[in-house]
Amino acid sequence: MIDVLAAPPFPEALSSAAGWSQWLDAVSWRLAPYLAPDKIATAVAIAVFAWIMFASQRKARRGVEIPIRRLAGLDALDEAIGRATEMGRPVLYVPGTDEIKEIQTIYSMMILRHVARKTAEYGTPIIVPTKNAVVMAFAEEAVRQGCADAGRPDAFVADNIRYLSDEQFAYCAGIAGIMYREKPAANIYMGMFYAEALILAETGFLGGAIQVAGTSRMEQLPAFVAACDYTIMGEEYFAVTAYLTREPSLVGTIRAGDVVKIAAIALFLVGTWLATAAPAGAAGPTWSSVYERLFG
Amino acid sequence: MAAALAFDRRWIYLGLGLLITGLYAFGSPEELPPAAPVQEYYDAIEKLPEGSIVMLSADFDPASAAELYPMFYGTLHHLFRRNIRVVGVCTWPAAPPFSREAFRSIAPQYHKEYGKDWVELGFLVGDDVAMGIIGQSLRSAYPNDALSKAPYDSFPLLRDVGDSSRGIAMLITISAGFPGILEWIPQLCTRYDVPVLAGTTAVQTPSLYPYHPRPLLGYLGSATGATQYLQLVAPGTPALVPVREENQRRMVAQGWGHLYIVALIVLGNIIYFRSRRRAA
Amino acid sequence: MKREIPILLTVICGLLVVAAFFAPAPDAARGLQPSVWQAINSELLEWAKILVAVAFLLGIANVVRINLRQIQARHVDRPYKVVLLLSMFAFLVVGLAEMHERDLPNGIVRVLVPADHVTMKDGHVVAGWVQGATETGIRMRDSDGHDLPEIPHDQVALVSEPSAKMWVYFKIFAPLQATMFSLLAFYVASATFRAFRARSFESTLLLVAGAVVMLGQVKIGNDLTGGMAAPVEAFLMDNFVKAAERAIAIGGSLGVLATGLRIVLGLERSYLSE
Repeated sequence: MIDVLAAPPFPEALSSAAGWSQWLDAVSWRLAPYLAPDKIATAVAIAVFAWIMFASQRKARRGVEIPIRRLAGLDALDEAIGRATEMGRPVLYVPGTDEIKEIQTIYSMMILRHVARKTAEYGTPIIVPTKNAVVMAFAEEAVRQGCADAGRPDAFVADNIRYLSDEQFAYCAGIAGIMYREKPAANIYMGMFYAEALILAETGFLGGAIQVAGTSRMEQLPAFVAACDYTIMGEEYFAVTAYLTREPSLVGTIRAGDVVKIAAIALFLVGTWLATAAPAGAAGPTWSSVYERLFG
Repeated sequence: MAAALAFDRRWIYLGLGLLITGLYAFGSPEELPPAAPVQEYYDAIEKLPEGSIVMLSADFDPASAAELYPMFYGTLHHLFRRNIRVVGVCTWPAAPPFSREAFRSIAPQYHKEYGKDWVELGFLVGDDVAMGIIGQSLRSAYPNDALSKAPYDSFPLLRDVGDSSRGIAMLITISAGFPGILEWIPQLCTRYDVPVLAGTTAVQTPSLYPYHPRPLLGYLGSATGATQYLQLVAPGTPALVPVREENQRRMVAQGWGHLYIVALIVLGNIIYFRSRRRAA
Repeated sequence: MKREIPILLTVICGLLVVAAFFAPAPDAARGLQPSVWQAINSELLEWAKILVAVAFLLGIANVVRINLRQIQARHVDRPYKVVLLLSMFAFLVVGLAEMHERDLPNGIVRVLVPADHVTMKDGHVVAGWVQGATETGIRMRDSDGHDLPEIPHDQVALVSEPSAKMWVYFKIFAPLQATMFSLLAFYVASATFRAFRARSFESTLLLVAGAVVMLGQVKIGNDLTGGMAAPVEAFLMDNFVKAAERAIAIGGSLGVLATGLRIVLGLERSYLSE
């Protein structure tokens, strides 16, 4: 038999760190049947973020202008597609090596739709090699829709959306083969990339293509920065569709991210101050430990 | 400048290839001082009580095996030497042959019995989702083992683990990328308070820094970390001495490879400044 | 309806997974049982696995369609296409044969699955195909498909079960993959030679930091700098890299969170061709 423990009581006063610690114990115990105690802070943070996001979107819809700084990499997309058109060569769009459940891949599909619209407008073929069959299905839809957006549904070529292999380096070798054989004039890399990033970007560079990359995966950013003409990095990647479409709801999302970041910086500063001021080797709860429980 | 940079890049490749293969073939092993995270990785295993259950996850493939398999091999020796019980899992489809090879060759050296001292549960499809299922319930993730396809509860070791992952004293992942350590941390470690150790490729190592020392107690970064770890484990384990020496020889080759690349950076800049002066 | 149903499914599944994430884990001390959300989550995860497996068929169909068309059109690269299709189907056949060895006709097994060998303690070797093990011994089938007498466990010295699938894996797949990965070393060399230029103060800082980290990572680099490179490298990695890594991770995570929220709440529809 397991003894079920008794619920901890609420403190009589909240004037000390010990009181707050006891209050947190009591609250998390009572919420425990509905909400994991270690996730309370996460749930509150997400709710706050969602509220700021909706408020920002409302503001943007009311016509309040929310400026987005210039992203050279995105301005370069049109230049790259234009150059491919002039040279009569295709555009290669690589949507990363992750699955569709990865947010970066979903975002890549949104960007692909925009790129496919542009290539359809210019009458330039677009080749999309994929590493995953589900991503292939999404890529087909994105390109088909992009062509439809441009009023050129006939520009969609099913054979140019290709599943190569689920194996990372077989996929990489397959793309290198496309670069050598079909000689795209513009290579666009958008999504989640791993060790294949530098191999792809270097092969593309040696082929003389103009290259634009975008990823929020930090480990592969140096590879793209070294070998590509333009790189969209980190959270810039998630601003791409807002930048391209200027749709109020998307622009509002970008603003919400910035507001939360400022709040996060404030929390860091308070946390650092509390941790520095906390007495060394204190036996009971301190303000620093209470703060850590709330936001740690 | 353009002319200087336009020369055939294959000369650079040839130079690097000759340097690395030559040193690997003829270089002699060199001792490396252990880095702090490597020492912490070693100490964390040393501190585990005998009989504890560790989940060892092979999350790599042949491409990264040169860097990671020595870590996996050394870790398994270390665990068995300390009489720690091991549950082997894989989240990469190409990892089971490596994992099986290591278990089959190492377990008999320590007279470890299958099902009691170690179990191989094998590959589970689903990446980070699979990790979430493992964390939630090992029994529902793996109704059978990988070697004999016997039911979960027929193994004393798995009965001791129980249903949830709270029966696991520690997770050790030898991880090449996605899915790997960065997915194990949210799916299992922080959710169920399971401490974790990791061995990763060089390119992935910086992404571990934010998680060290909590919940990541220690880590082996790249072939350098593997070599330093093997130096710590090999003294009590004669079977590891040749593996350690091979890694030490690799590190000599890698060291000169780094120097070669630094020399290329310097050379590239000399060409750049000369061409700028000429243009001015 | 064609548009609404996928969005509705996305919203329902997304909210269920979020609920499972926040649901408390079972805890006997507090009297908490596994929640219904976690059971739903597990079921959804099973569905996801099935979807991924079915998608493989889509992928195979795409590979076959595109490559067959190019072979028919007598494309200049058709030999490679033939090799690709042959290797794909050969590996599929060998893998399936090994997986379903016990259910296949004897003639097929004899051709596709290498024979197993059981070495007895007296040195005698029994060749055949291992069918499984019982409490008392090993069951085998001979090349004519007949069951052999059970071999008691205490008489067995060694069981060798060669696998064509594993042979292909270790002798072809593993070296090919390792070769592709090792190309990185060469591309790193050419990319650094070309890209690391002291064009500005920032780029000079970047290349000096890069060089110091490379030197500090290896013993010879550290020795050549009189032991200076390793501590400087550790300082850079522990402070600047860790801080930058966290900053980019937080920024990126906010982007992920915003997009995730928009998808789960059905506000983001462009990926569904809305």
